Amino acid sequence: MRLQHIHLPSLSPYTRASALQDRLVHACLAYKASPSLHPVLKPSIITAQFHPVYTCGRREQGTVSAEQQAYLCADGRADFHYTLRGGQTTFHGPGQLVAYPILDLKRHGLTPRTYVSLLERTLIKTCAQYGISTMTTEHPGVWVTPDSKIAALGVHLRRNITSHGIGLNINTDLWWFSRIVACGLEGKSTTSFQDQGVVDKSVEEVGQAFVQNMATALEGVESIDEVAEDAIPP
Amino acid sequence: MNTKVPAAMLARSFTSWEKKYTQDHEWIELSSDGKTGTIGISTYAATALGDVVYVELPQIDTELGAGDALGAVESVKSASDILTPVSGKVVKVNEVLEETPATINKSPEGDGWIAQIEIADEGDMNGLMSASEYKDFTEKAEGD
Repeated sequence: MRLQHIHLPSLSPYTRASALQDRLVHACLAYKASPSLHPVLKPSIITAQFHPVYTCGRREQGTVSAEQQAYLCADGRADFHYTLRGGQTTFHGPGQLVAYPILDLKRHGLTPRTYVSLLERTLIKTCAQYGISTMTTEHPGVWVTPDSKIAALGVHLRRNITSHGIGLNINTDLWWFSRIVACGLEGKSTTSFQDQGVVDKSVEEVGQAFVQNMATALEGVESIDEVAEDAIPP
Repeated sequence: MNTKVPAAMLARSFTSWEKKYTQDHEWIELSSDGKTGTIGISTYAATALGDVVYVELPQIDTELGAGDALGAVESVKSASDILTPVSGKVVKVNEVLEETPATINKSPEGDGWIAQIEIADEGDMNGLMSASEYKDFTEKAEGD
């Protein structure tokens, strides 16, 4: 099968990717509920670069006060959103590759646990292609050292259809991370390609590499189709 | 005095105590009066998720349709929706899971139950799998 890759133009608001993601998930769920009534679902991956936004995971629903939200939004320079994904608070913004694979895990022989593992391995492989050696630790995500994280991940599953995904820092302004305890992990810091000395790489270029690596890692995927956002039915 | 129980009633009360399963790996067990169903996730699902770190429980009195999300189970960085197989009203939730979410891993089909629903339409129970049908279903899925 072919993996459809939708790259949103930079910079996008978080809500644009979130709405597109919802449409794709809805189409996958509709097919799963009635395969005879809907077109066959195609695995998809959205890549994007967002305007500054802080997002929270499912278990933080309702826990961030109005004052905290105002602090995070930094006089309107950033947005704030609750999401249904796992994990805790993180930041997305210019210089960070965000990738949301929308897949039916069953079609690729994956469980939630093995899928998270696949995302981590694909991130490690992508970083290695740019000369950055990374690892996994007891904490999810991908790390340069046990205290310095280069990529975060948080996934939502409904009937084994995935949404949300990863955030890999290329040349993100790390100041945004210093304002939060990212992913709820005290004493850890965030790094980026640039911080690691790998400069002048664009989010688009690394995004292409990541999508290529995902296509290789996913069982059953033979090739990639670049698809425009408006080609996805409402 | 005729003390024989009609066969139809016997058959009904027998199947009431048997767990039924969905294709998304939830189970539901009817109470002996058939009015409420206890819902959880199967051992197969709990293993596939890994260590559960957080459980989102529904609010008591929430009305749900069959197939609606009644909550979510979060394991390392993935939050998986739990869907109710039946429509009805949430009457009880397993608060133990708020303190000790790992109970789902230790006993997914026993102490790790998630919520109880007062069933609105018993017809929703049709089409669910018995334990042996579910076992065949998961073995086939593994083999694919």
